[in-house]
Amino acid sequence: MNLTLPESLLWGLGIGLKFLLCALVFYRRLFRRLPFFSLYVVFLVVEVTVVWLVYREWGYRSIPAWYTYWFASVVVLLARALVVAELCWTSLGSYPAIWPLVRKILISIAAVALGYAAVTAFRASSSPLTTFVLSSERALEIAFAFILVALVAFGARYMAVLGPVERNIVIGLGAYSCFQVINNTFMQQWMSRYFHWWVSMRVVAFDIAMLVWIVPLRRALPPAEPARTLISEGVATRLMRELLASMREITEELKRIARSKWK
Amino acid sequence: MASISLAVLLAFSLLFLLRTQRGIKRRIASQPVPRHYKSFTDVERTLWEAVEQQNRSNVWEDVRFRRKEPEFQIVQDYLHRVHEDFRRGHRIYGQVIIHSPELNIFAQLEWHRIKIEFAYYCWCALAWLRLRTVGISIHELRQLTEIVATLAFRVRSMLTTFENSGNVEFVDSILRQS
Repeated sequence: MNLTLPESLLWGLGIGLKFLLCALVFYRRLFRRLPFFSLYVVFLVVEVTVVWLVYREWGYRSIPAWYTYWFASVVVLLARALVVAELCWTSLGSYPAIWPLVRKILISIAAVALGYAAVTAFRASSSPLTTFVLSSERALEIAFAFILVALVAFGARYMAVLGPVERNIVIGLGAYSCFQVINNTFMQQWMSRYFHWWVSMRVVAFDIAMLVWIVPLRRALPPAEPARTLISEGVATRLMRELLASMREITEELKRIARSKWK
Repeated sequence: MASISLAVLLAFSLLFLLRTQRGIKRRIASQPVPRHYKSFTDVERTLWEAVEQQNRSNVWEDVRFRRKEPEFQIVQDYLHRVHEDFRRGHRIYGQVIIHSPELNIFAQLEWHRIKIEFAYYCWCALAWLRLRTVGISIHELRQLTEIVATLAFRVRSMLTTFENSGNVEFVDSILRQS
């Protein structure tokens, strides 16, 4: 192993937190409520185990270690994208007018981010794999932050309030994404010679995110909120149209009264 | 630098909005349907009597209630209650329209809400400014009351329409969650 002592300690802490998080996710049966988040946590454990084994076998600065690190980063990044989509589905999936639109927006964002990353990687003179991962990460991180802020703003406006576990996942993911945008910008512009520092900062930020996710899992999960009472689509459409028509009538009436007042 | 500023802005927005959500959840089910605005006539009468006792010779519509005057507390309490009404009505309205089965209907109902919201916040800003400068008049209080009354009327119409069509459980669930 070619890691320095602080780096080793940091990695050790990260590995410990990943295993603890994974154990809590299964102990609390979170996979029933958030399957993609649970899958993501499993990927984190698999990633860290494989990367650690490769580092031990071939060394930190070897070519297999390099390829393993970047491939694992792609898999984990895609899993994180699925977690963001899952959070959107959990929060908005039961709204028939909103969800189809949100789904289209999410697919478009993913396509644009990956397309941008692919074009950047194709044009790059350095390693296409590294460029693809960094470009897609940069594009997706900022997209994740936007989506999560929009999701929470929507929840505040329409009372689609998140549960404590989902809330902490949003905080962890959102804070980590914002941190990564800043970290990647520094790395790209001023710190390319300090790659190890960049990786260490990223590990610290992710450890903090994991701590935020672990907090609500210390206790048993709160019971799922009772399902919303829904009415049939036909009835809802008819009643909403009636309401809309009456609102238009009242608005016109108020306008007429206001005009007559001014005459 | 732009991406760094954007990331910082997004991080703060996320924390602020999550805090707002938490506040909303704490207030849920602690308030009834908007009703405080109905006490406007009582508030107006109380203010009128107070002004009469002081023998202020102004025309009623031109009387302004300033921070130093004893009636200021009445005005401030009333504004606080009207704001609670607005927030409650706003939440119920949001809960109803989010169940729209079509995006088109949702967008039109939301547009009506945005118009009321815009008018309310404009008058609120004016009231806030006047309270701290020249004083607020009864006309401005009436304007705010009318806006909240319009919202409350729309909310009541919505709930009544759903109740009359036999969807009482739906109305109960809306009131529980807003």
